[in-house]
Amino acid sequence: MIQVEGLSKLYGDFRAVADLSFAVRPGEIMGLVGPNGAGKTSTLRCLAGIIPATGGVIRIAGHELASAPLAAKQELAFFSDEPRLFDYLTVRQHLEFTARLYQVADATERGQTLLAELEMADKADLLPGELSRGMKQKAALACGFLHSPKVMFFDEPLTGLDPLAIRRTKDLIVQRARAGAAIVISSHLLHLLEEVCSHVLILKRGVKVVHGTLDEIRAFAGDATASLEEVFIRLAGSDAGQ
Amino acid sequence: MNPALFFLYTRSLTGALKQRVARLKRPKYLFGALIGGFYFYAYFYRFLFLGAKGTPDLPADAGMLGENLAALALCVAVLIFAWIIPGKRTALTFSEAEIATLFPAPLSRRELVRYKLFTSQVGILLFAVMMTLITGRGATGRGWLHLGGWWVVISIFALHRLGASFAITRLMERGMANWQRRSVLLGVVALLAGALMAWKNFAPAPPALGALGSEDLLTAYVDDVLLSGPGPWLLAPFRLIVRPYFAADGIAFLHALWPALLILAAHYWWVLRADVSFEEASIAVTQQRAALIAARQKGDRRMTLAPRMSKIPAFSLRPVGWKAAAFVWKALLYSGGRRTLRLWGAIVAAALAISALLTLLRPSETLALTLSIAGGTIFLVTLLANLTTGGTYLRQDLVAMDLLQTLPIRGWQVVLGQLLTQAALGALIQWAGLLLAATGLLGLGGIMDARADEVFAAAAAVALLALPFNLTMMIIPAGTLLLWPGWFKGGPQSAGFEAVGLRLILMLGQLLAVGAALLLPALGGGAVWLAAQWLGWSIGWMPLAGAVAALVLAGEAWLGILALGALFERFDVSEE
Repeated sequence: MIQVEGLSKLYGDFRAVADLSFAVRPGEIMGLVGPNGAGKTSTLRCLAGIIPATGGVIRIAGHELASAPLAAKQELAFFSDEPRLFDYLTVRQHLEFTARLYQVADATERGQTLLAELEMADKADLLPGELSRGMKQKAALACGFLHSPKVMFFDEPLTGLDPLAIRRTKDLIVQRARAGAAIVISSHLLHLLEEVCSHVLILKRGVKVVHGTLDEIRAFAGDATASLEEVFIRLAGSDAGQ
Repeated sequence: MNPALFFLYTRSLTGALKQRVARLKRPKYLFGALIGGFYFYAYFYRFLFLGAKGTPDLPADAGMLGENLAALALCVAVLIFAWIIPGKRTALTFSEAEIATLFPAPLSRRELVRYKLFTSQVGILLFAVMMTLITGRGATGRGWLHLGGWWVVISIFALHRLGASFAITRLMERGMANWQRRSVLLGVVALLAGALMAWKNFAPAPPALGALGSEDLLTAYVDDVLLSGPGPWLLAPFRLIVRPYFAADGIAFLHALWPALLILAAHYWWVLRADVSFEEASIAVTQQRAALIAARQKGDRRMTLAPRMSKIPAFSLRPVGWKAAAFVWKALLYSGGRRTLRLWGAIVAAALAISALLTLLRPSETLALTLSIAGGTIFLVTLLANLTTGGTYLRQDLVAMDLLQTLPIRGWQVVLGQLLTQAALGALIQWAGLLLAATGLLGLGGIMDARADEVFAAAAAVALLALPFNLTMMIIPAGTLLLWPGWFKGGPQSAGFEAVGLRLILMLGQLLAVGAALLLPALGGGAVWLAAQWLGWSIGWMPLAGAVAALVLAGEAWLGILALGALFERFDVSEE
């Protein structure tokens, strides 16, 4: 579903991501972890088509992002760390706008279902300025889920949320994966990633350190019982915590 | 100043400068900086600080008059802006980071005030430079003296406002309401005015009305008024403050400077001595500023601190259809939705009604002339506004560029949706203006002999051109927005030589582009005119020429939108 071969991203002379290759299959949730400045956000932005990759090939649901960007983008949803909402559109109007862009014929019904699922049906006619951060996050999730994307990218989706909202967001992500979506999550909340991710990719200075299932990376770190946090500290080495 | 605060300030300043210099590594900003720097050198610095050949200096008596008038202006400004208008508690402006780190730190209130006074010097100096540039064009070669003079005036004024705000806060803490303070102050002002009225009998007689045109007589009278009676006493301290600015040479400047510096030192002592609580008000002001800056960075220049209201869309957006329509729908919603469309409709209806009434009733030629001038002005202002507002709807989406770039839509569709909305709304107003202008022209039978069919044929031709012309004029500002988003976001990145240079390039580029864009349409319209002459067509050629020119212009606008779409798709959020 997500295929990445030799991805690299340069900012001038600085190499943010170097020769990164991995794949995420339907139903898999891959945690993208690494110290600050490891290239996680650059990687996610390249994968979502926000910034052009300097090199490599990215395929989203079989469509090559560079040569068929519209077809690839039709199949993906990107959720940034800060919910990006238009100040002057209500939640319902956000859904209408998104529906037209993704050509979602049954958007009205889907939108209602999503709002009910996210427990914000009564907030449909409110503007972002009238919503709490958690509610804004939910509105962004509703917009992202509306076209039933096959691929989803989450950049720090749980930051700033209360425990209840964290639990609900995690459940929603897991539900989408069970429904067949391929998901990549970038986060520093390792214990939460450990709960939801089937795979983990650790990046360090733009280079892949390890990629595999939780058990595989534990084995790689040489401790089958270690937590993801312990594995991360061991593998990310002196960069961790920077 | 506290060493830690000095460290914070100097490092912040050098960091900001380094960032600005680092940005010059990118050719577009370097080019802007070169143009901006050259502009400042050629237009201001060379004249002000080096002296320009052939430009006479101001006469000495003009300096005296200026000093008196400046002292009077400063006195009025201090009274109004420091004592009468302020109605809130003292609020020194800190950044959010400063509040988070300095307020809980073991720093005395006096240290914080001293820090703010120190840091405000950069702003004061920049303002002084700006004022020197604005006011110094006539007095060549004395730029540095003027700069010093402005620095003295602005520094004392800023300190006085701060001291006054501390004093007002203390009065409020003691239970004195704003209205009571204002009443007392206005009472004092009234008393002074009364004293001046009483003195009037001894004052020199004003020059006769006919002599008002004589500059010498007027100058002498103003000097007499300000230098006799209570005037000199009232204005004495203010005259001391402004005197360095009017110094003729370096020696005179130094002579004038020390009394002004004594006043400055007294103000500094006054401000530091006050121990007034400003923290709470500062936090409130900082939060408001942060919200406004955030809104500005999002491109929302209409942001107020009042809560936003949801709006009804201008039309219902079906989930399936042409994708660019979603951006038309969104842009209309941004501009006010259905309410704005109704208002625009009402304006067009009013223009129609006025035109119909004028045609039926045939009132005076004065009214007709007024109407044609008003209509023409509306048309031109709306047309020229495109040069500055061309990227308005795109700008408010800058903050969500990362989201927009994940959407399955071509860049040109995003650009077209937004620009078309703005161009169409502008065209509606332009049509209303044209209608009024045309109807007005018809009522000018005694002044110009215009036939109704000719006037309306010409108006129709221009009306056809309005929409594509609006679109064409928006291409450059919208392109600039996508190329240099940094200086549309507000904040420090939108200032500096490079930003000035880029704005100059933009202005020049816009003029050239509009001129070039009009060449082909003019040729198209001209061809129709030639054909009309050849074939002996009636006035029908005018709307036809307009239509041909409009088509050509629309084609050019289309190419521009495609180019903007490519820029939109290549927009790299990580670079800005």
